[in-house]
Amino acid sequence: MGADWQKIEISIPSDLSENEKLALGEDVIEYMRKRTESGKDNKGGSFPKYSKEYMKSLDFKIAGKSSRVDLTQTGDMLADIEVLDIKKNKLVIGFEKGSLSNDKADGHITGWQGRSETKRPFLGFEGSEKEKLKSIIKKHENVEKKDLLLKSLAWLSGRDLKRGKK
Amino acid sequence: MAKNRNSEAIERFVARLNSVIEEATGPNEMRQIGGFIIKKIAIRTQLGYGVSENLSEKSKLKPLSTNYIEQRKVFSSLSGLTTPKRSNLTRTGSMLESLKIKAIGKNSISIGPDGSDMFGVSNSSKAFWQEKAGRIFLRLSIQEVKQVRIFWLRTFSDLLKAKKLR
Repeated sequence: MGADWQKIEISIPSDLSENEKLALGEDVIEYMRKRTESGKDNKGGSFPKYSKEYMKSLDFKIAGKSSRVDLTQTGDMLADIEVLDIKKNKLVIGFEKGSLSNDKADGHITGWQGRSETKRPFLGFEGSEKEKLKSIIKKHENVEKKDLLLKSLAWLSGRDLKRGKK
Repeated sequence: MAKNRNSEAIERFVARLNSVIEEATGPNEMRQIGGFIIKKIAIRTQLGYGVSENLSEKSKLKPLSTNYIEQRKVFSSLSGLTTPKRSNLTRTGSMLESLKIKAIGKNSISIGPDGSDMFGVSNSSKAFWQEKAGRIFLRLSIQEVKQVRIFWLRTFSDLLKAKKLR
């Protein structure tokens, strides 16, 4: 059975500009990367431990890994998370369909399509992590407000300047 | 008056931003990036992957010949980070360990092997012959370039926070 396409959809404010939506997407991705690197899953809990076999393997030693599960051997998979699509009020974030990183992510998320009981969901926001997502989005809403404020200031200072010339 | 105060605030902001950009692209940060790249190349190679050209996908290194595997089986100084059969450009480990920053330019970092192994063979000649034999490893894959970008953006973000610009 082939890997599922690993992607998530995130609701976002529709009044953000395209660039702001992309920046928001990048912040969401960076948050998920850092969360995974710190050993936390998409609910904020710890990932299941690595198998004894993997911890004894030469690959484990070469990568200089510790017992902290961070889904990072070369770092390729986490680096491949990207904004796949920007819609009016939605962002699609995940992996390129059919890519090696998508296969790896699918393995972690689904437990290799049910062949393993160990699942390590790292994409998305569940449980208490939903609040984290809200705070990231809120920060960008504030950026939008700041931008509006700056535009207003620029407009007002332009008026002052015209008055000054008179 | 208000206009002057605004201009001064903007000038101060731009000056602080310029100092962050200068620091983020300065020799210290370039050295950090160089160290990060060296670690990435060494781990990926020891895991058994090469990169034939920059920005391409990594691929398995060409297998070792039967004769060479037999030689490695009786070689007493074989590194703990390889096995007789594993093709990972590691025998004593000296070549990959010797990777260092050779030069730092304004927008470039030059990385290469340095010195020689315990038998007096230069590490750069070993790298040269491995590449001649089709085991190309001194390149960066697309995923590694993405990781360098993430590494640099994290540094930049930390500097912005330190200067209270973020």
